[in-house]
Amino acid sequence: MRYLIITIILIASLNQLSAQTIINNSETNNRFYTRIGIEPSTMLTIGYQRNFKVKFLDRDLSTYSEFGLDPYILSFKNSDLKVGGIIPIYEKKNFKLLNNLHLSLGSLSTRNFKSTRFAVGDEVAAGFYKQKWFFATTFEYENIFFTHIKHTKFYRVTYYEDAKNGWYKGTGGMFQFGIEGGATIKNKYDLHCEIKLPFTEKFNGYGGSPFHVNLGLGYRF
Amino acid sequence: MKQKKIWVFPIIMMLFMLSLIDCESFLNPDEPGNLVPMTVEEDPLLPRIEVNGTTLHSETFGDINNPIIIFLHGGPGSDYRAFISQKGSENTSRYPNERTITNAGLSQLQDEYFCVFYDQRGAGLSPRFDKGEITFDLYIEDLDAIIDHYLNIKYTDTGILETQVNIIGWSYGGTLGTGYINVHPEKIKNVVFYEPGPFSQKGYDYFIENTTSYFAQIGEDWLEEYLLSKDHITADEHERADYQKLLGAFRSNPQFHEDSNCPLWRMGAFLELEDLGKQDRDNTSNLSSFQGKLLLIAGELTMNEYPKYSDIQMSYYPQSIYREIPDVGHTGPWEEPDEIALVIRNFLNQQ
Repeated sequence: MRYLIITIILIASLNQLSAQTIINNSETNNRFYTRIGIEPSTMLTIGYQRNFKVKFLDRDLSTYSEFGLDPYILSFKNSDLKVGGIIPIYEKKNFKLLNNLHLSLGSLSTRNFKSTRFAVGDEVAAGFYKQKWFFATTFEYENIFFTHIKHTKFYRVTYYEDAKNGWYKGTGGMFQFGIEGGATIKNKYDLHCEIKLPFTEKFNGYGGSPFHVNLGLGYRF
Repeated sequence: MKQKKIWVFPIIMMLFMLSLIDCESFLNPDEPGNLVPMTVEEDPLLPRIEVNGTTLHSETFGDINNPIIIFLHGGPGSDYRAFISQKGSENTSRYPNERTITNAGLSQLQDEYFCVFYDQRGAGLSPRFDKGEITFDLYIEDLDAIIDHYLNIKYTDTGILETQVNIIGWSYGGTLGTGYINVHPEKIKNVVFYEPGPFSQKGYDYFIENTTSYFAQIGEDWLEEYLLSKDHITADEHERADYQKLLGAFRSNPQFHEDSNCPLWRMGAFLELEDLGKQDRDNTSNLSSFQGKLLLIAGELTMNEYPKYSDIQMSYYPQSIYREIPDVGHTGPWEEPDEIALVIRNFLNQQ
């Protein structure tokens, strides 16, 4: 049954790709979006984005909040909540340098442990942003600021009975280098695609999928 | 100007509060013993042996007057806990003095044999090494040193001069054991392998062809948990990497029909990055010199998935016998140790 639901969601989301990145010359201020991909497990994300004009910075600011679930597990125990803001830090004609600062709260439930993590990340995108399309290269760093880990009975019985529960600092971080692009249809529908190469914060292989890939669809209003 | 002050103040407050977070009150994921057990380098209470310039987690069972059996665990990177534990009983503690049962699993062979168990370099509770420091040849050297060590002890303690030991290898332990026999056939009397890893490129290719790839397992719980865990823990240090690797233990290969309750102490995750003869190395060029016999034991459930595998493996040994254990897979020695121990006893006693 869950595979049927996932298939329906996938088919629906393929018809609706949503860009997370702002296309600043949009006349609308609001956007709903959905995104599906591998980052690092399969993730289905829905989000809301709103544009503001920040007078004292003399810049447009786009804030967003999104919630992601693993579509195969479909549980709040394996999810990610992210809030952030995107601001252009340099613009010349259609070339923009955008900065995306975000905070995230992730939840994970495995056979061995349950984990809640707080992370801070920053992504810089440099590219060309036209009214109907955009293309950019991205660079992102995310640091897992602290993580709460609680071990299951299974872990203690089968592997290590003396494992310590509690708040851990420095469980990791990652770098991602990528490219992304998108297009807008009828000034309302956004298509978005990105592919990223992840590394740990010590530039070791991230493990799992060699690439993180996302397809997104949005609706402006 | 007023708006600037309004925005700046909460940012300064947030930064100030963040600076107050006392790092001492947080646990360090890389501190030995927090997430995974300490190795022999960090825990003085663990049993050990000093050989070939290193310390390895190791212990023995039985009377040194009896024939010696060296046990080789799987992985690479696993440990010998499943050799000395058995399904239905309490998993064996890493501290010998805390055990309620002292002859669980295949360690029950201690009544007739002197049984030597050790965690290979970089694996289990043996010390960790950086990438590039561990090779298959070094594994063979370590095993040779262990064999010489106990043959010398036997002569010193009992006056019995022996030049050979028996080997029992499980999974990758079979690959390692065969690699050793290929180099030192004269030092091994007889050998027992339970579902050994490939001895040759031919065996490896057959194994890969019949194994479900990780990509095809997208959506399986273990893989989704493992991938998602990378956003919570990045495996840059041994403790974190070993901790994360346990998420896939005994679950990652459906063809193995493993019981996922099979115990471990700790996995050596970084060994995956090393060339440890697991893949395309041919360890069979000198096996014709081996005068002993191979007993190859396999679980029925695994061999249903790889029907030609045992024939391919046995073809490299001059003399071999095959025995199949019904209703078990790759964790057979932990699931049915009594049955497997009986098969081993009958084989060794007849040689």
